Amino acid sequence: MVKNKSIKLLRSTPLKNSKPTYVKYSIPFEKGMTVLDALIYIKENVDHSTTFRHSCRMGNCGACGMVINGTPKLACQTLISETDEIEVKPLENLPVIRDLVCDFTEFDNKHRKIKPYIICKDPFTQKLASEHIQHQDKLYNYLQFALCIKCGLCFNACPITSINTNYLGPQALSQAYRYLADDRDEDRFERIEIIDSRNGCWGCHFAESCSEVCPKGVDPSLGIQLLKRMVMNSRLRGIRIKSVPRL
Amino acid sequence: MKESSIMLLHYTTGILIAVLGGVHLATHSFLGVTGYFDSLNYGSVTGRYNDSLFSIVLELLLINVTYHGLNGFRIILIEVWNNNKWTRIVNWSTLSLGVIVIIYGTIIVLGKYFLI
Repeated sequence: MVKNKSIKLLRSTPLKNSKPTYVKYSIPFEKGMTVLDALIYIKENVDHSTTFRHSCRMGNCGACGMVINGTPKLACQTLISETDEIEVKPLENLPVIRDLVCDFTEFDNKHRKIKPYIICKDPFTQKLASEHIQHQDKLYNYLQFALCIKCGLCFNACPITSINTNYLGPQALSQAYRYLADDRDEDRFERIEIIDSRNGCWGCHFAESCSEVCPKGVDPSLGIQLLKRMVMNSRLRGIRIKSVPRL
Repeated sequence: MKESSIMLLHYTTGILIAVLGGVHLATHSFLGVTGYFDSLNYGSVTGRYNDSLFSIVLELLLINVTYHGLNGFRIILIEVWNNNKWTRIVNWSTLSLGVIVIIYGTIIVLGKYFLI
């Protein structure tokens, strides 16, 4: 006998000034079912107007980030247990476009602000025909931060982001550390200038909720603390950073 | 002033407050007194406050506590509303308040050396 399960969705269309309301759906429960499976079932069989993002279905793309039972999670990685009631909401620190779809423009702009790429100024490196390969030993200085999939869960969980809209957020700051810790990067001055402010790394109060919710095991709060140390050292020793701490 | 320099001073003053506060309390409790009641009698208190080394420690403590406390307060206020105008108002207000507190405190602590 198929057991039914109820799932509560917070639905809204801000563009049409509609008030967010919870809508309850009943779905047939199967063992191993994820919240994303349930949403797809609702979209295909119950209500075609239900709106949400998804892509890879295996926690690699970061498209299906949403608040599930009060915690920001990836819907494709969250199993529906037999007992729990399920309440699904869109991410909270980003403007909602419709239902569970949020506008990531602000998030992306903050990410773009920290120059998330390796800057090469050396003419020899610029003319390299082959790849600019990183040494295995040095890779471990920032490897975990390179695993970020930009799902926005940390940004949603951060208490500072919710009160200060100008704060860069844990994702952008941990990515800033990722590029600053990379010894192939040659323009540290400009990036440090951007993050050395109250809306940059000094805005973090180390609540660590970003690290709690990261689906890829990245520790953005560690990245921000290391970033603070790096910025402080760069001020003390001049802008040249001699070494990065080994993780 | 860059935020990292402000925070560097914030951490340094925090450590100095612990050190100077310890020296301050130790001076009260152990320097030239036989016990708790002796440390609080009129002669001991005036003797301590007329000592130049004690006054210097007190002055340093005043500067460190004022900077550390007001900077902490500034950070809280900046986070209440986040806009450039408010940040500028808070920065200048705390700076002015800090200068006033330090000048007033210095007159009380070191005034006897410079004023008649």
